[in-house]
Amino acid sequence: MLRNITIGQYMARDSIIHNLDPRIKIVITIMMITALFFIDTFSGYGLFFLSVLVIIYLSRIPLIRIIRGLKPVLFLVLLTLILHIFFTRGGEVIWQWGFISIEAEGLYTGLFMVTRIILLIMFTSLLTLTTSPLELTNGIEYLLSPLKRVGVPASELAMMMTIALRFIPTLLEEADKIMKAQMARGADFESGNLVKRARNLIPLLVPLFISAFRRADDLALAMESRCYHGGEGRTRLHELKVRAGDFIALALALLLCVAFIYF
Amino acid sequence: MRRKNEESTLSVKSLTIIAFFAALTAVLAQIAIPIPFSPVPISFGLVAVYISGILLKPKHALYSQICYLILGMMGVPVFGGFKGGIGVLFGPTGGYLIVYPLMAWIVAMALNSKRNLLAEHRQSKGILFLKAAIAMCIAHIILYMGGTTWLSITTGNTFYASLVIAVFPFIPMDILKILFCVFAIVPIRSRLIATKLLVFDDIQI
Repeated sequence: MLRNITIGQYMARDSIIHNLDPRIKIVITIMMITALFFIDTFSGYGLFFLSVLVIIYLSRIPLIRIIRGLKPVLFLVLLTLILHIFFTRGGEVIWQWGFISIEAEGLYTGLFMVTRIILLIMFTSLLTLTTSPLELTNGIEYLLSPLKRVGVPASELAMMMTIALRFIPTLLEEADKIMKAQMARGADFESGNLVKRARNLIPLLVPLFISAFRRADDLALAMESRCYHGGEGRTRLHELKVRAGDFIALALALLLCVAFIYF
Repeated sequence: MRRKNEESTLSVKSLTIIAFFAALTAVLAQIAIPIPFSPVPISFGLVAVYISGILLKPKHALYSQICYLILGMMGVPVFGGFKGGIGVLFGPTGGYLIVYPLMAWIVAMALNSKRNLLAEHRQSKGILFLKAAIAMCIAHIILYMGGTTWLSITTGNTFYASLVIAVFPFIPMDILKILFCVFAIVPIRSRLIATKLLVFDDIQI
């Protein structure tokens, strides 16, 4: 877990989807999510589901991996379905027992919303499964750079993300070390009532803050002595290039979005 | 002398601080205290947001949380329970995450804006606690409103039904979290300032 955290969910494969430009992938994802919220028929959802299946097939990500990604929302999906079935009124009565009844409208809306949530999670998980965090950072930096004019520090944000990505495992490890060190000094993280337990976390938090401040100081010094001066004029090892395939993907996605809404 | 134009760009020092607090938020979000009478453990996610608000300048607090969210969006499992991915952010409960930057900013404004920092030495400890508590309550109301609105949109439930699922059961714990931040983290901040470990540059306290 500790070692893998910075890789995130990314699954390295050699596929058409993996090789698309990250910027294009981000734009397509946002487009598709927006379109998803405009779909108002089940046939539209059907088409969406089909295209998701095609993309999954093309990306060579095992379907089971995508389905596993649905687990965290399972509870919410069930709850939504139940709430709609029993509390949304309208349409003919399908089933009745005493004062409890299921009406057509409730069943329809419930299924509709549940389908939407499932499709949303399925599609969005594809982006992070097929694009590495570093590629995504690059993509986000490019996409945000027009906003520099209004004061959004795009390249600084990208730099911060890279630093944070690099230091999350370090800080996790450090938190673990501090915990053990404090336990050796008699700190107790595992018993007592709630207030006591919360208070016991303070000997963990304070050294963690101080270490973060100190490391940030050191890193800033190291960066300055290597003449870091923001993103301006920076060159890269891997330049992002939009190829013909990317334009085709974008055009296809646009077509699909229109199709979803009018289907 | 280090900075070319102070107004628009961030100094390297603040850049690294923001990055570390984004990373720290990710680490702290994984701390969960299991409690006997509820299946949902108390997560430190919100506490981590407030910690950034308490210890950083408003703009930095805002950026650190934006950075945290984008990290999560990129699929790094930084959200509670090692979850991550754009789906979490745009999913039904994503609204409760998207407001983090705003929440951290509000708390930071109440404590670490220039005006408040300059006024701090004249005020008693009680006022500091009160300011922090009020700011966190406002931030929490924004959390509830923003998160619940998104939950209602994605699930099609009524606003009230969403409140029942996702807000009412969490209120007691949230009050405890706010109390923890006010009475544990705010004193830590004072001590860090007193020992010069926490420095708000260009402002003398």
